[in-house]
Amino acid sequence: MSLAYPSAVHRRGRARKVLDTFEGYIRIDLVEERMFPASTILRYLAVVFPVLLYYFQSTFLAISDDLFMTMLIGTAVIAGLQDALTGLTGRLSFAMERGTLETYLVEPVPWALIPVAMNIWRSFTGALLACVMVAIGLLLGGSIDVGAIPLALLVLFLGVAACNALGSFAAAFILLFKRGEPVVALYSLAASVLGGALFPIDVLPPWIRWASYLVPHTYVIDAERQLLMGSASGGHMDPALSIGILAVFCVVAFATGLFVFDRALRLARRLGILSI
Amino acid sequence: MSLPGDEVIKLRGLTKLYEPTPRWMRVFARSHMVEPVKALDGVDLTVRAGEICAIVGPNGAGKTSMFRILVGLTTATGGTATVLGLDAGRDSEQIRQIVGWMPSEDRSLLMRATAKENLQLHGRLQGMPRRELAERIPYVLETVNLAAQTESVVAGLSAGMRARLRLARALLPGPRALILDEPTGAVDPIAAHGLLTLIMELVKQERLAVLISSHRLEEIEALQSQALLMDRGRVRYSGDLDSLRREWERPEVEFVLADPATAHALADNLVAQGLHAVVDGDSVRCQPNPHEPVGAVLSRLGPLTSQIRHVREIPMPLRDLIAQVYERGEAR
Ligand SMILES: Nc1ncnc2c1ncn2[C@@H]1O[C@H](COP(=O)(O)OP(=O)(O)O)[C@@H](O)[C@H]1O
Ligand SMILES: [Mg+2]
Repeated sequence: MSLAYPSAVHRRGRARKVLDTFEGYIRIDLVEERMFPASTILRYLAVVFPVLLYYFQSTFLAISDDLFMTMLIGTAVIAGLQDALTGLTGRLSFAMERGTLETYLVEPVPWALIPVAMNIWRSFTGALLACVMVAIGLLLGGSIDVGAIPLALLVLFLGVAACNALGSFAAAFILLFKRGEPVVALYSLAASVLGGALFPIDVLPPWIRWASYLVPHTYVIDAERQLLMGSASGGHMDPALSIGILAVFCVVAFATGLFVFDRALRLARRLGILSI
Repeated sequence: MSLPGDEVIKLRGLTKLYEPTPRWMRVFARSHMVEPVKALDGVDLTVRAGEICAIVGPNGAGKTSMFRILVGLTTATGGTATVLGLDAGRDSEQIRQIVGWMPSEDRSLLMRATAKENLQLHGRLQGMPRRELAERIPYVLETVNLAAQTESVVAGLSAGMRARLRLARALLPGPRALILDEPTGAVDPIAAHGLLTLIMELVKQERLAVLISSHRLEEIEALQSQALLMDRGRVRYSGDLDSLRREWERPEVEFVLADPATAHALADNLVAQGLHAVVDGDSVRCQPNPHEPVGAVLSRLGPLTSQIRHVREIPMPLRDLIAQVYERGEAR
């Protein structure tokens, strides 16, 4: 018998590990997408309807030409960030129920990478979904400032990153208490009101508006509207300021989110409740 | 003989106490247990390169807990566990790079992925180069006799096939130590024998250190190894598996006769031989003397021998064996 037994233990650097981890997890997601091909297509088809909904509603209200794009950009951002926010908790509870979480945990890669790696594909497809929604809006006669697209994508990326960081708090909660979807769903609905998905946030009374500044959605929506629609957007924050705030938010939320996740994982490990 | 430098897996006074979740956590979720459970209580164990150690014990003995501490899925409450000098608590990530773990449950596989996809994922996360992985996957699948199922989705495989796939996954990256949690539980006896032979071959060729658990001695019949008999977290016996088995292979013998009258006659004869015999309808049970073959008992039965319709050997239940080993230990 010829021996194909690997002769040495595989050694690799940190960067290699990070790449391997991301690749491995994206591979799992691709397997899933391939397993249910139609569901992927349907997900993209489904977003045609909210776009149509806001298109006809703004035609009916006939207040201004910009109403449609205002609503569309807000909704697209909320939809796009939704996956970034809830993807991790969904995946994590599924893995815990199924028992595959332990399979991931016994791999020789840092546990702190798991929250990001588990959600990277979902975040990407979510962001793509937002872009598809805006594109459908364009087909229906909406218009945007084409030159601002790169910056708009950067803002979207920061929003996705911020929501991933928030998701790791939720993931920590799920590791310890097993049920966390209601918390995440609540937050995500609140974010669409506070972030001003269908209206500029100055509509909100001042006693609620301060809370708007605490959710990243506000900055993403405001900046996207101003970048893509210019002065017609009804936004009022300098996009550069929004980007700066988002960047700081990402750094702080990621650092604390991963720390909390790591702590929760250690506690769950000690108690032996990783897969219960 | 083996040098101390050969020590691969080493447990010293390993203790694990599972406790209910702290009070503040119970606001959100009920605790998974009521009373603290001592799953491991001062377990010592050394497995050297090229050695197999069978951990034998009934359900709840602490076998899985021991393994989970070694691969870092839970932490020890006391004592130490090391693999090649790496501490299971601190250097868990490095340990996971050199240990192949075969969990006892199917749940650990990605059910919707194919056998090959499951291995690919594991191989990449283990840091195996793409080329090597592409060669190694067909090889390990062939080794566990699953080549035909390479492209089958796991959910569609039988329990035995899934067990073999879990073994293939543990072997894939070429670990220095293998930890196999009840590997033969779901596999048919012939395949189980094959698995154990395969493992013994690998151990010899690659000088692996192997921990293997089982709750049934007869399942690991083919194994030549050290043994650790455990019950409720404590070690009851530590030595070679063969001597344990000799103990266990002193089965009770049951004779089935034509009618109760003959059964009583046979029982009388056995009692006359100095054995303890129990009649139940038309059958008689007795325990031959230690170190005496069943044939010796038969040869003394005289004309009654031809009246025996069936002879059955009833292996000693693991519980009784543990009790017996323990009693002897106490007496010593
Ligand atoms: N995660 C856990 N939380 C609480 N108790 C546990 C947990 N895992 C195992 N136990 C308890 O520890 C003891 C040993 O279990 P285990 O190690 O699974 O034994 P075995 O694998 O030998 O059947 C049992 O009493 C079991 O109830
Ligand atoms: Mg077990």
